[in-house]
Amino acid sequence: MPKVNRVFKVNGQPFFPIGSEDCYAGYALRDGEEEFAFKSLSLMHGNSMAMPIHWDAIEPEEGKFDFTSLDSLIANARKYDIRLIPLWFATWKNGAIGYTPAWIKSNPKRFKRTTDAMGKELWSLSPHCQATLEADKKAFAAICEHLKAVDSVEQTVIALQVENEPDVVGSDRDYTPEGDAAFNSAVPALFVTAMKKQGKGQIYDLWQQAGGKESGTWSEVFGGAAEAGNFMEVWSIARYIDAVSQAGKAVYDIPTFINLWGKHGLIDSEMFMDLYRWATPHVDIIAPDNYHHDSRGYEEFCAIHTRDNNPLFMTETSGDQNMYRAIADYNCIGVHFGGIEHMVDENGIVLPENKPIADNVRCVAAVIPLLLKYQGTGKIHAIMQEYAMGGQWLRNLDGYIGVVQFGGGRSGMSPTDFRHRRNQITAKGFGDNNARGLVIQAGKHEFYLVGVGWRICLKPKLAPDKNRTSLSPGDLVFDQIQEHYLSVDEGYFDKKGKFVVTNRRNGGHVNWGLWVEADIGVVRVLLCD
Amino acid sequence: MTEVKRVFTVDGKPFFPIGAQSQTSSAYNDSESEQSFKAIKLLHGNTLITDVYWEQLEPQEGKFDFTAVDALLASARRYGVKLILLWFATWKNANMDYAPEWVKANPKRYKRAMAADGSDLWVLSSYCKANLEADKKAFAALCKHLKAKDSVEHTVICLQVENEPAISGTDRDYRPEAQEVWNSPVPAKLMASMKAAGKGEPYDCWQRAGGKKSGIWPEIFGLAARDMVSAWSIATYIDSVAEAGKTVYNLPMYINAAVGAFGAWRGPVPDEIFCSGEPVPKVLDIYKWFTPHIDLIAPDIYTPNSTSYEAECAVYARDDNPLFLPESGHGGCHIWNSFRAIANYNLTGYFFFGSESIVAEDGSVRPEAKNLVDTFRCAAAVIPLLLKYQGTGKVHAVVQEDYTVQQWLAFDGYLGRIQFGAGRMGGGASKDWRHSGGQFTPREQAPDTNRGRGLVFQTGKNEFYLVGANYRLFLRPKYSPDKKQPLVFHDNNVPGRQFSIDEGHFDQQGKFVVDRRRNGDNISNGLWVEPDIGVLRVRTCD
Repeated sequence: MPKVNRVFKVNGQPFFPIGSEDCYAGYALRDGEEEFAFKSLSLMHGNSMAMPIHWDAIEPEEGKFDFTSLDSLIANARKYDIRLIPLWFATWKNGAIGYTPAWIKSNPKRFKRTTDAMGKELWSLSPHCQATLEADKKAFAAICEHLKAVDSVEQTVIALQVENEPDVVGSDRDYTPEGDAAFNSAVPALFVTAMKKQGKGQIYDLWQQAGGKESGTWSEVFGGAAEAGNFMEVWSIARYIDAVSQAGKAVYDIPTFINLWGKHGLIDSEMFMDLYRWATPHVDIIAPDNYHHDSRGYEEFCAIHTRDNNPLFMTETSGDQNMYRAIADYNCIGVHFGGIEHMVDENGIVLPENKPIADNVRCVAAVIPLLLKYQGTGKIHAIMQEYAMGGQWLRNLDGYIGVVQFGGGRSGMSPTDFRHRRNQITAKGFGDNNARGLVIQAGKHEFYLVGVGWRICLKPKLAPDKNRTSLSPGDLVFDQIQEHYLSVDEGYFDKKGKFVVTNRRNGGHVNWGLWVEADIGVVRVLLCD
Repeated sequence: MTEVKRVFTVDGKPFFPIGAQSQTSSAYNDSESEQSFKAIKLLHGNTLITDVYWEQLEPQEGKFDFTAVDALLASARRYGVKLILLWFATWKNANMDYAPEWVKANPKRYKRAMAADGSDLWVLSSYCKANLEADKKAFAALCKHLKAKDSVEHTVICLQVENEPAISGTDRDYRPEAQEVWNSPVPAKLMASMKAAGKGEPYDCWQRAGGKKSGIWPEIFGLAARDMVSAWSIATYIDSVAEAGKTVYNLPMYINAAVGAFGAWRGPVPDEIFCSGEPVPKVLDIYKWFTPHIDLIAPDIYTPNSTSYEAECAVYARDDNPLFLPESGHGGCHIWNSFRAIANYNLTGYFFFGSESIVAEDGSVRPEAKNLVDTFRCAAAVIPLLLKYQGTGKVHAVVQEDYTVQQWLAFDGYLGRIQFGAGRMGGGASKDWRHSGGQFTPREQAPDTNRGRGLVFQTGKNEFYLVGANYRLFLRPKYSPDKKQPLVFHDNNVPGRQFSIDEGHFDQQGKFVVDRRRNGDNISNGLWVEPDIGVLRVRTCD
């Protein structure tokens, strides 16, 4: 049973952030739009907002700091009881220099830029330039100092993202004299130690193929492999960010993380992850920006970024149904979907095309006390309608087999209650509004259900000598009338994590399977032998 | 690099059977089967899978009638296709529908499986010796007839023994003969096989139940004993039928399994019951250990989603069991996932179920079947390459997953980017949040059926073959610091490196024949394929 490392805490208590990542916002927002984003998220039942703070706004002149934008975010977050994760857009934003102050951009002599193999200067700062590092560290430390002063009691800010999607774009490495010097220096001991300790992975394999030398230049250690230059560069960027994070943490001890965009045509996502994880002891999480919509790509990305020393945090994602699998199978400790700003109309009503995402936020938020308790125990099961699937079996429940049907049930017309239309999701259909959710087994005979568009039948597993007919796939018996329910209740978890019943179900409302929709809250099922 | 075991051969040469399986009443006579043969031609296939019915072959005990079999042989030769025949006898989908009337009408002699409450089921009991002897005799007669009629022409390349064998309607057979086995020690050979394997589902069930050295079935397997004993009993029975046939005429033989459950098969199966004794993943080891006369166990895959489809392939593609799909679905992901089965699981033969359904009244392909037919056409076009390159790591599947617009492929010395549909960002390039086209708006789903799909073969450092539909490939030499080449992946191929690009086909001898050359504007926007252009050969230079 893996122990889940709860990086996010509020006043010492574990916290599960579910909300939005608003990466184009910040100073670009017009009057009132910032508040509107918080208000919208609050209406959507989210509890956490990630918003950028921009170096050019915070330090418009060297050494002169202006925290207006940060203070405004904190004030809005408090107003709507939402936790805040500021994103530090500084040396890197998507591999480029865009958010650095004018005094940095206009002084390439002092703040050196990355140069490609042909000698062309790129719109990207060199990680090998000490002056840039010192300037970034100073600004980040100033932010942390400010947070310590204004937020160490309330703890509205729960973490900081250092930079955004850092990378070198347009070259495999920096070819300035400093970059050449780094490439031709001995590989750092920290790198070799970490690689050896991990003892597997693509980088490790490449190193072994090249003879497993423990010293030498990057090129020598990797036997002249074409990737060596990029390894050095990615490592140098990661070390740079670690130093920035360290400078901030020295002032105010707050969790930090780095977000990665994955492979870029030179090296694979797994190699990125190795280099970043090995290089950053002062960073709590390396987090993927997971925009894969297909379940294969999404899961591969989850697997790459989930390690014993790295809990999965989905800092940018589309908010689609895949998040349930990340939560159930990869112990994901928080989810921020991208782009709250355009999901609601001017009255804060969720636009129809975004309702599936809003429902996901609502469903996950509804079971946070259960997630904090049961992640890592094998008791949380994802329901997910993949392409053309009509249903799903839950085989690993203790003492039960869960038979899940998507949409309107086998007949296509199985009833829910008077508030919900029948057959909202077609079993064969596929789109953004697929059946999805979680089944959490809290005890041998105690289940909690949350989600959209499915119903479940819980079949007890019987001893060999008890008579039962087979559960054949083509001959599924969905006879809830025979199920031994003690009680089936709709409800929610209160502030203390206690389940409060709002409505009991019985008779015709349980005979056709235990159904869920986003607006009914959590369904608690108690059974007996 | 894996050596692919080729169970299917024709005149001693490896053969990749591809086509469809007829429906289950289509082989009683000529006029019914005609439609199936037409379908194989429309598919560009080479083999029809169709049935032999015990009730028709042996209408009276000991009196055999081979009229229907002879008609199939004649039609197959006329159409120039090979046959795989399915022996519908003791079991067809876990019941006895195709047993002769003299078997069905005599339950005293031909005993049926029994439920725990003592009721008779519509399934012949695997514990009844008379059932086995009758089935063996009829199957041996079929093999003898095939030997006489077909040992020169080799129209029939393989036999499936029974169909989706299992017991439906109970968790195991409770008749007295079965109870006796249930309460007897688990055979020493099974205990030894599990011990030698040291892993696998039977082994795990045994360990979970305490790992006892010996004991009766429920003592050794606990809850899982029901499935294990039925699997053991049915596997032993079918192997005995196969042996009786092979002794007469040495053809490859296999057993098929209904594995798809509710479209959601993921991961190993704990102690629950499907149709008892079906060769599902949980008991696959037992089938492999107790069927020495069976060449492979084949899954019938109908699961519609990619991850479950692949999980099923992964279980049945073993060193001791080459993957073969005698039945698969004809819609949804079956139109594209088969390329992954071919490339990643070394699929050795490929069929969908329901051949007749693709043929329109005028004999053409029904419009709704076009995408499926295209998939078969593409796979059939590269059979010589499949036979040569499967298992070498040189066969790459192109599959457009849900919502995807591109796919990356790593080649020897090259990086490949596959582009699906309209363009790189699919219209999703970001503006700002106030305007449409932002990257967070719901993505456009990939086309429902005509997904980008196919295969890319790298047959040499600078030689590629492409086949498929609705995709284009961009090749870029792998980055090398000395070359000082740009790193940006342009949507055109590196100028001057495309030596020659030809559309063509493989002839009977497996030689590539060029039908048309491409150049200029037709190659500057990627290496595109569609099913009707045949195979695209791409030669590059450094």
